[in-house]
Amino acid sequence: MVRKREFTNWIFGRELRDSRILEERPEEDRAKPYVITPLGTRVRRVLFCGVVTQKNSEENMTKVTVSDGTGNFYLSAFNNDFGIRAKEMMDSLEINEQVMVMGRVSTYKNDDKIYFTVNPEIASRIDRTEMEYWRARTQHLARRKIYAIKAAAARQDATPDTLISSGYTASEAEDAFRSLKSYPDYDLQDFEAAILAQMQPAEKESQESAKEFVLNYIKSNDTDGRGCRYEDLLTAAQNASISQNELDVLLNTLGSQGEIFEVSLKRYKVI
Amino acid sequence: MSETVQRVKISDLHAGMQNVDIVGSVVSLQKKELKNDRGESVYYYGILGDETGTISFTAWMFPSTVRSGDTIEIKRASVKEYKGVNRLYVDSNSEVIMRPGETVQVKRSYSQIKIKDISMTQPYVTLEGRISNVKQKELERDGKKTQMYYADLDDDTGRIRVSSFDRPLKEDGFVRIEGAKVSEYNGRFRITIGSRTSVAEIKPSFKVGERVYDIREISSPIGGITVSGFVVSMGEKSGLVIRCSACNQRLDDIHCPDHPEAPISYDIFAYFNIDDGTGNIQCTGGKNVFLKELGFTDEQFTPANKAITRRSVFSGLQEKILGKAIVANGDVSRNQAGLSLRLSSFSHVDEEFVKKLMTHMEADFQ
Ligand SMILES: [Zn+2]
Repeated sequence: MVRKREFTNWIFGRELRDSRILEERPEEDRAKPYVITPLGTRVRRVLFCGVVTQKNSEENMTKVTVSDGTGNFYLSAFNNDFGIRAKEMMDSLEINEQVMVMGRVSTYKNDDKIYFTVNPEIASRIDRTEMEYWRARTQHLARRKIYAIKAAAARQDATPDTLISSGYTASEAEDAFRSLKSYPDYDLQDFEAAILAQMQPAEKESQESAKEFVLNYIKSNDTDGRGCRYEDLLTAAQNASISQNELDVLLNTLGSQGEIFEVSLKRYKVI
Repeated sequence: MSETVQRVKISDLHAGMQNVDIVGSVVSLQKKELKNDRGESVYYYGILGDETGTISFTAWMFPSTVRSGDTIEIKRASVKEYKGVNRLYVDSNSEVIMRPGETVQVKRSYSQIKIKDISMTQPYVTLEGRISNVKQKELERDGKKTQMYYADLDDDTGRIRVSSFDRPLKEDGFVRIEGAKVSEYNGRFRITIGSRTSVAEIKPSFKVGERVYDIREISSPIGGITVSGFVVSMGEKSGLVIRCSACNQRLDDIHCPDHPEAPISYDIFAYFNIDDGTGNIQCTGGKNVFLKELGFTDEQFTPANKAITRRSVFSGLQEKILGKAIVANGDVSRNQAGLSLRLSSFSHVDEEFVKKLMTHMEADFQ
């Protein structure tokens, strides 16, 4: 029971969907290959939550599609020694139910495109709060990775050690450089906007007013014509109960929506 | 590289120094075996002290005759920074010489740390925290009576057990303990207040509250922490435990071999893994933790209740816990298999916890 478990990645459907690379491995290695995602994550076992959108139950195989709002996970379980319990769990799921699934990613390549399916080990019905919990943690983990990738890209002399000394874990640092190497042109802004769009209506509302606040502040505080300073904006935002985290997200979103642009480092103008 | 040998005191060591010649007393010494693709290797680590302070060292080779307390001379060592702390490196170029006749008075250096940062590499530390659960016991040592005080010490990062010789500990008092000795006992850390330790009451500069950890942040056996995650597996031997009411022994059968006439009693033991996306940890818990979740009171959970079977308890636990997101509170302990969390309580993830977690996580980006 106490053997070391394989690491389980909590990831969004979008991160898996955008993956294009399988880790190379020795010919004789029969194990499933690791998927290298755009965030540099090495993925073989995943855990995700979402809503059942499709189900196709047959005697030998059950297929279920689960959507987390950013993308789909395609599950399949077989009626064999390894899959029978998973198949039973999946057979009991209904369309529109919220589920948590942990499973292993299978890949197959066709015409240079990679397709992913998940072979579930556990599938369990969850409530809205559990879904929120998963989403909050997964967003957080993804955002830490995005920040690490940006930090790795920002400086020519950045190394895994410099990232670790600024607070990232060893695996986040490793993943960041793997991402830069494997997906140099990946649109992180767009990815971040997609995963943060997954919010509750109430949050969206306060998000709207925070957005107005930020836009107005940038407009009226471009004091020297070279753009509003990030530091000034941060102070004002914090006084208005907008955390630095929220501010950074907003700046990102506003940037990708073309409402503002970063004139120079940490200087913003409204378009 | 300079060939001049520098005989130095520990307090004068700084990162980047090479060819250091140092005489000191071995405060602690441990051997570690490493296994990797290239085979097995051994290295030594410990703490060296002199009259100016102490420093951690790492050695790829070390005379097997050296014991804790011995005075040694190390020639041609180097000093590098590791995780923000200076460390003395003894490599193939270095030489370790026993100095049997000499004694070195080690100045204990007590760096002040948080409970989460306690490790066996720092044998004496200074901690600040709140004392609680004080218990007193009289001990006979060498024919002399000693008052022992046992308590928990809490700071904003965790909890640790404290034993104090003769020095009373005040319930709910905040104290600064300088020069507490760290030890590991039954897989848990504890600190001891001895004759050379000083204890002073303080005004705390921190708050003792819920200490929420990511699983990957847990690296040592500290107590009083909170983690969350989805329960991703449950041990097959979890469930109903039958005990002898006379000796409390766990029974496979319904009769105790030593007390065949004694009635049996019911208990629960469950073990499972939780995963929070940063890692996973094994959790264990007993009747006090799970009974309510299963919908029983203590009075109902007895052999007289025929609805209770091994199967019903196991499937009850599985239904209530497996695949669910939970918040677990407890103490981390270390065993051969690694770290595990012994639960003192658990609950299901609720709105309030998600909010709290988001605040905690946001602190990462501040
Ligand atoms: Zn007995």
